[in-house]
Amino acid sequence: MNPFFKRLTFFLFILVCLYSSVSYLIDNVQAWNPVLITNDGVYDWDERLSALRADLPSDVKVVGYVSDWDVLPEYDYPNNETEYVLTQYTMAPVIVARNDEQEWLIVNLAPRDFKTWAATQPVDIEIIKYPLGLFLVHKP
Amino acid sequence: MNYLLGFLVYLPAVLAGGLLVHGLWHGSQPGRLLFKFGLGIGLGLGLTSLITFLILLLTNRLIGFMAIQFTLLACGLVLTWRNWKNNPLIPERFTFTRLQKTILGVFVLALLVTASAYAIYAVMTPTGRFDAWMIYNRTARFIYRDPANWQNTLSPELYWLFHADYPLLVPVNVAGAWNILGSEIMRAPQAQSAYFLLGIFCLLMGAIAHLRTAGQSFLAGIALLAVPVFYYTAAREEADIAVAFFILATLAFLFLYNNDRKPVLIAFAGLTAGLAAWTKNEGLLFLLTGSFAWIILLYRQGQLRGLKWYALGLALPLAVIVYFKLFLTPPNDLFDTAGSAGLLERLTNFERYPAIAWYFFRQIFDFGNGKFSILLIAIYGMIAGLDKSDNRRQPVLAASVAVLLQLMGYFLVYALSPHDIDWHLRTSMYRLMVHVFPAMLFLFFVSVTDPETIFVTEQKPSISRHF
Repeated sequence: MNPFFKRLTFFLFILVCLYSSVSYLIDNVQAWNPVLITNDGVYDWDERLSALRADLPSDVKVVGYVSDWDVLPEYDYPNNETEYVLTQYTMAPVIVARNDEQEWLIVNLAPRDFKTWAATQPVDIEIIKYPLGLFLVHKP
Repeated sequence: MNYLLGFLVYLPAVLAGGLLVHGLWHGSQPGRLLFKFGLGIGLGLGLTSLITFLILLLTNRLIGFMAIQFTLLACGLVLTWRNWKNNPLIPERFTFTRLQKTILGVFVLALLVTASAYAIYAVMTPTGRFDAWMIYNRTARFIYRDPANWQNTLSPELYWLFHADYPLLVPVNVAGAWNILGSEIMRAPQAQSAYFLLGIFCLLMGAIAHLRTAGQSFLAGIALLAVPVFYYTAAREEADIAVAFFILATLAFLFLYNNDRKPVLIAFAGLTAGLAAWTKNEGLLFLLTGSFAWIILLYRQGQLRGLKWYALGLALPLAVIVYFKLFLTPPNDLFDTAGSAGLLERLTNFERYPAIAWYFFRQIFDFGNGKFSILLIAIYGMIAGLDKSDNRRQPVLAASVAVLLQLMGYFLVYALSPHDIDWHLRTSMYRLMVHVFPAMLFLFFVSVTDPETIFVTEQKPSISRHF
């Protein structure tokens, strides 16, 4: 290969590398959002579940979890999955099993959907309601 | 402040690793020292994790995290002190040519740009991202919040998405750091990832500087700086950066051993391969493929007896991982429900193969950010040509076989996956590429013509005399 061509390729290679690095910087500068420094959503989820965590008896090691994907024919899977993951992350070291077979259940449903789900459950379940469609259910 | 605390809490392990490597493997050439410092990051953090885990296993208490680090540091200091006359920790004198200084300048510029981009992203990612919440930091929370019942994090009752069977190198160190810092400071896992990222740079550039030229080393650094996926993966507190570190280290040792023929290098390779397995399940696959590469090298050199050194390095992490997998963890989600008949059925479902092959093929263009790609590297390599100097007799074949087998293993895992294949490929492929890319970059830059040769105007002296 002609040495000049090799040198030209070397310069072009470095230029593309620099272009890639600078593009990455520009993308991140444009995405800058100072709110995210202290809260990327996980904090909100921790706050949302804090009262529920306090109400759950300390000897409970496993709770069940019910959400849209257990009740609605159509649901937003990524959103359901993220909320479930964040719930487990917040509740650790309590295991949040993905079923309704446990004595204690976290139910993450809009109030109307919760009514539909509760209608399928035994009448003697105890329900503690929290804001934003969150329920702690105890099956005696 | 939290970020600083995150870095400080791991600093003794990082320094200890570097000093121990230096004490056991002599030589103060700048490239070698850089490599040793990088290696020390992974070895220090890896050994700390293994020992902390053993204490946790035996006592059900999260104790001794700093004591372990300072003990390792004391061992490193003693070793360095005792060997100071024969093996001072001072780089040998070196000078750069004008060309090397120019490429170094470009590297520093690229480093400033990418480091700024990383810093912005990392600052805006205070708790990591999905995989951190799902696996690594979640596991760390189980251990930190209830160490007496830490084995709940391995419960089969955890949904498969949480990967309860994953090895614990990263989470144990995160839990240990939180225990020392007194709270769940999320910058600690981010600092650990940043250390591994720094380690990858030191390994890559140090090995290439030592084996080839300074200019080639800076060029490899510039190329790695152009791949954003590494920086956001690190900021997201995912363990893939650590796997990439150990794969690169194990394969780079093939070349360093080929040059130096010191048994301790084989032992280090065994240790790094074992630590890859202690980091993620994909590291278990690498334990097979990386070990196979070492068998190829030693067989070709007629030194298969050298495998005893490999086994020596591997012994501790392998013992831990075997016990962990046999007695503690639930089955992996890929294998638990199907049974052997189900696995065979998936494996012979050839309808999925084209989709998987297409995703792999697309990585040639897509891995990176659409500007820098594997295709660009390939074109550069074709034009620059292979190195024709006296450094060319390197174990490229053995290392390439390991990378190729690793990728084939990933292909088979996708073929066996019980999950929606499109979802599985979309959400994980880039991370698998992160594992092997630094090793691929190393193989590439150790093989192609260096800038010093491209710009040579007269007879070039051998690289090892340069740097």
